[in-house]
This record gives sequence, structure tokens and C-alpha cells, in this order.
Amino acid sequence: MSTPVLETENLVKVYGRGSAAFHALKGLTFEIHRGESVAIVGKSGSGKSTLMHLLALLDEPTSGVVALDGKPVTQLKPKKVSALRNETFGFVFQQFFLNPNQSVLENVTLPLKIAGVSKIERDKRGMKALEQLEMADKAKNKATNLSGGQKQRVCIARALINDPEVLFADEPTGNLDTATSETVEDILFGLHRDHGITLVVVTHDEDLAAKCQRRLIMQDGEIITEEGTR
Amino acid sequence: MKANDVVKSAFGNTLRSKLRTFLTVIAIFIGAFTLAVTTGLAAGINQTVDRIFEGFGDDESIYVVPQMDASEQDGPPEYDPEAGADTDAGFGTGMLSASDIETIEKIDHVLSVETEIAAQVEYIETPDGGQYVSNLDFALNDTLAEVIAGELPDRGAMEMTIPEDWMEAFGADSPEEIVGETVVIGAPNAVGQISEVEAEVTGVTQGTLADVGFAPIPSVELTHEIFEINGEGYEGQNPESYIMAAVEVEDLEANEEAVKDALAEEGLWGLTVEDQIAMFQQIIDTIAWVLAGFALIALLAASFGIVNTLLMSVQERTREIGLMKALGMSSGKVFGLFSMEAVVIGIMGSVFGIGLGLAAGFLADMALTAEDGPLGGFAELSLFAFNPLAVGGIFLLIVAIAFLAGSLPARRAAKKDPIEALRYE
Ligand SMILES: Nc1ncnc2c1ncn2[C@@H]1O[C@H](COP(=O)(O)OP(=O)(O)OP(=O)(O)O)[C@@H](O)[C@H]1O
Ligand SMILES: [Mg+2]
Repeated sequence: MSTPVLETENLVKVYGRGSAAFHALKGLTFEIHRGESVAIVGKSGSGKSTLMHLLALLDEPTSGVVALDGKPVTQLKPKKVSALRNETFGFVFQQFFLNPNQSVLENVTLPLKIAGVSKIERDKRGMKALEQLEMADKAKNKATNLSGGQKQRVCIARALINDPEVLFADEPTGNLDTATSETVEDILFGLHRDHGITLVVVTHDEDLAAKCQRRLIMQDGEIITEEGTR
Repeated sequence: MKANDVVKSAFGNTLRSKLRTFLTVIAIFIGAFTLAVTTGLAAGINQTVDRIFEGFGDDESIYVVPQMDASEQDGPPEYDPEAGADTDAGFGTGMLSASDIETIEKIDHVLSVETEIAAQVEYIETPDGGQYVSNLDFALNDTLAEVIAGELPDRGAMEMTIPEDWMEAFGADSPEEIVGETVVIGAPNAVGQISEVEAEVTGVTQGTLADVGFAPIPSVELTHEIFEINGEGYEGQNPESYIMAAVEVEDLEANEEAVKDALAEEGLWGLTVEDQIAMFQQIIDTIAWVLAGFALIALLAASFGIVNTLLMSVQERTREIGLMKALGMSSGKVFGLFSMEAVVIGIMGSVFGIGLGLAAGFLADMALTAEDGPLGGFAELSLFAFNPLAVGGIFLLIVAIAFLAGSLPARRAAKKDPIEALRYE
């Protein structure tokens, strides 16, 4: 068995302190393997986003370990963690998070700009990613002038631009109508299938969850069931 | 993120909210403008002074005046009948006495002493008979004069120079025509009768910033001759007193300090031409520094403008910052990006401020010192000059101030937690 790309051990997240302390995650231990597609499902407030943020190294656990490729990340320097996020992960956020005053192409190439890639190279790869998502004709548009589905496609293009090993998507279809949702789902699973990207999807959309190989079902900060196999 | 991308992004971001940036830049602009003008002014005047006095480096004289210790003396000195007016007439009056001169002559390394006396003139008569009222400049000021034709009078001969604007009185079209003419000087004696002496015009002067050359400059000999006439008919002894003495020193460079110290012991104050220039320049520098102080206050106020602008900008862009951090931008780079925005504002303000300050300075200088301008009568006067060191210094100073001002908001941006920033509505 290969080393899991992501694994956690007794992961705990507590918000607040003393009497106001809220245990958002209550000791989670699981593994995500390379090339898997995993859905994190559960009711609102069950701790899905909190878990995803910890896995994506956006936040630090109160206790417990997150390991990337078998190496615990808790002791790493913030700068190294930033670089890891930039190089290894792709993000699709629930609320798009596009910079409205920048063009679609600029939004898509932001991770490369942060990584220090030259403008020419950035634009080349950005156009390629946009073509992949059939958004090339909108490259020069302002990000605000797009429909919801188009925005989400731009977000996916941005998440793909640095050839990530793991793609995190928090409610990727939460803001979209059924038809557009399906398109976005097709794109995500197409990438998973064709490029072997590891998918970690947070959702309460049953359909989307069903398409994943594995489902972690959460309730009150705990994984109550695990469905599917690798 | 690459350095050039940081700069480009910072520049783009400052242009997002144009009015706000503009208002912040204005404050910097005012400071930069003022600093550019004041340093340019100081540089211009100092350069003029240097240029004018360049030729006097070989002057081997120390100019002596009585030491006036204003701090030690409040009100007039008490009358002392023992002091004896005739033995030390100059004491306390700002004049040198005959005994002072004797003392000076005895100091080591002193070769000769020439004295400056106040000579009174009734009129000066040009060759064609026109009589004109005029004061005489001090004979020992000759070293500070700017001669545009002919040369300075020989201190030992009956000679003098004429200011440039007397050309008409001589009916001359060029200064050269006046050189070699002979004028008659009418001087009053103690009882009001006029006696005349003749003097040859050896040169024509243009007034300088040191206020020398706006009146005829007589030779030392001529001054003494006129003084003799002034004293005629005076009953009793005419107490000799001198305004100033020029002391010729052997090897001035080596003995300057020794002679000055010896003079100080006698209650006298010795200054070389260089010292006088230095004093003059110090006054100009002081004025420039005071003006620069006001500009610095303006810059201080402007720096708060930068802090305010960027704090607003950081607040508005919380989400964008969170996104950049989530996508792997390090806190250091976020700090760098916002500091760079402050620096860009600083650069915009200083480039426009310094540029327009220099332009305004040179235009004003041209207008004021033009032939027919209000200050056109001064020789070689330029009020404004480009001092690359000062301009570079101002630029760096403003950029440094902007950077410092930006560091507070930039730190705030760098400290933002990506998750909280992304949750921010
Ligand atoms: N910064 C915080 N401080 C305090 N409590 C927090 C904080 N962030 C999240 N929580 C709490 O932790 C719990 C889990 O939140 P989380 O965002 O992970 O839920 P979720 O499962 O993603 O819900 P949703 O489906 O609505 O997005 C919630 O009860 C929430 O109120
Ligand atoms: Mg959530």
C-alpha cells in the first residue's frame, strides 16, 4: 500500500476558550490516498469546512497531526507551509473569491504569480487552463461580468493552474443551479479521472457525494460513518 | 511573487482608488515641492557666493574688528573717567583705536596693517562737471568687489572704482569708457568748508550680494586723504578711530590661527575673507534648514495620510489578502506588497513634487534675475541651482518616510489569517 497523500491522527479543533470553548472537531483519524476522490458530507455546522481547512494547511489544529506524504506538517515553518499550499494544492471555494477588478486571466494565473512565474509563462498556462474549461473567449473579461457557472469554472481553472496533487473544493456546486452543477461536477470528475488528481469535496449535495469513491459522513465534529472503498 | 510583479501590482492597486491616492499624493507633493525649492535656493545662493568669492582665495589678509560681546553687556557700558577717551577711543564703541592698531602691528607674523576709516564726501564731480551725491564704500571692501571693467584701485594710490549704474552720469555707453577718467571729490572739513581732491577711476564694479560695489570704492590712500580734510579745522586732538583694519599676514595658511588667537587676547576679532563667506553661507543654510523644517512637518502630516489610506485599503481588501495567503503567498510577501504601495505613493509624490519644485525654482530664478528683473542688478546672481545630492536625498527621505508609514498597515495585512479573511463579509 502506498503512503497516503494526506493523513490525520486524532485531529482536534477547539474554537474559543474556557466556558466558551467549542469543540468543532473531536479527534479525527483517517487517510486519503493519492488519486482518490473523497466527499466530506454532513449537516451544516458539523465541522466540514473546519476539517477541510486543516487538511489544506490553511489552519492549525488544536491538537493532533496532519501529515502530507507521510510527513507531519505541524512543525513546518509558515513560509514552507505557504509554499506547499501554492505548489501542492488547488482550491475551489464556496463563494468563488475572484478579484472583481481583475481580468479572468489575471484571476486564473494568481497562484502562478504568487509562485514567481514570469508573465509570459503565466499567460500561456492560464490560457491553456481556460481552454480546458471552455472559458478561453472570456479571458480578457472582468471577473465580475460572468455568470455563476462561469465564475465557478474560472475558479476551477485557477485551482488547476499549478498542476496540484490535491484539489479541495468546498461546496463547489452550492451556488449553482442543477444544470450548471452537473457541468461543474463533470469537469471535476473528468480531471480526477484523466489527470489522477486527488479530489477532496465538501458538500451536502447527495448527487455530488455519490459520485465520489469514498464518503466521510460527519456529525458534531466526528466522522460517524465512512462509505465506499478505494 | 517576483519583485517586478510586486511593483506592478502595487502600482496597479494604488490606481484602483484614484481619488484617494491622489489626495494622499498631494500631501507628499507639498512636502517634496517645498524641500526641492528650499534646497535649490540654498544651493543657488551658495553657488553664487562661491563663484563670486572664488578669486579671493589668495587674499593673505585677516580683517580685524573689535570684539563685540553683546551677551556680556546689557545696556550701555558705565562711563569711566579714568579710561581716557584719547588713549583708547575705540573701546566699546565698535571702533578700533590707535593703540589697538599698534598692538596689532606687534603681533608675530603680521607684515603690515591697513586701516579703514569713515570718510565723509560732499559730492563727486565727473569730468564733464556734473556733481553727484554719493557715499563711499569701504576701501578694504575692495577684495569683495566684482569688477566688470578695468581693475581694483591700488591701495596706495589716489584711485577709485565707480559702480556700473553711474555710466549715464559719465555719459558713457560701456563701462570700459569710464576707466582712466579722473573725478574730483569734494570733502567737507570740520567747519563745513569744502576741499577737493582728484582721483583716477581704475575700474567699474557691479553690486554683489555682499552689498559691495553699489557705491564707489576708494583706495585706502584716498580714504585717508579725505579723512584728513574731514579733520581740518577741528580744535583739539582728533581722536583716531578705525572701523576695521586689514592685517597682512606672512603665510596666512600656517599662521592664521596664531594671529587670530593673539587678536582675541587683545579683545579683537580677526576674520579672513573665507570666514566672512562661511558666515554668510551659514546664514543662508540656516534659513534653508528652517524652511526645510516646515517641509518636514508637512511630510510628517503626509505620512499619516499614507497610514490612513493604506489602513482603509487593507480593510477593504481583507478578502483579497485572505485569498492570496490561502493560495500560498507568504506573510513577508504580503507585507512587501503593501509596503510597496506606500513606496509607490511616496515615489509619485516626490517625483512630481521635486520635478515641479525644480521647474518653479528655475523659472522664478530666471524671472527675478533677468536683466530687467527685480534682482537684475546683482552681479552673477543665481537664486536657484540643481543640487543632485540634495535632490537624491529628498527622494530617498520621502520614500523612506512613505515606507515607514506603510509598514503599520502592511503589518496588519501580513498578519491577517486567511480563513478569517475568507469568511469576512
Ligand atoms: N472561528 C470560529 N469561532 C468559533 N466557532 C467557529 C469558528 N469557525 C467555525 N466555528 C464553528 O464550528 C462549527 C463547524 O463549522 P464549519 O464551518 O466547519 O461547519 P460546516 O460543516 O462547514 O457547515 P456548513 O455546511 O454550513 O458550511 C460551527 O458550529 C461553527 O459555528
Ligand atoms: Mg462549510
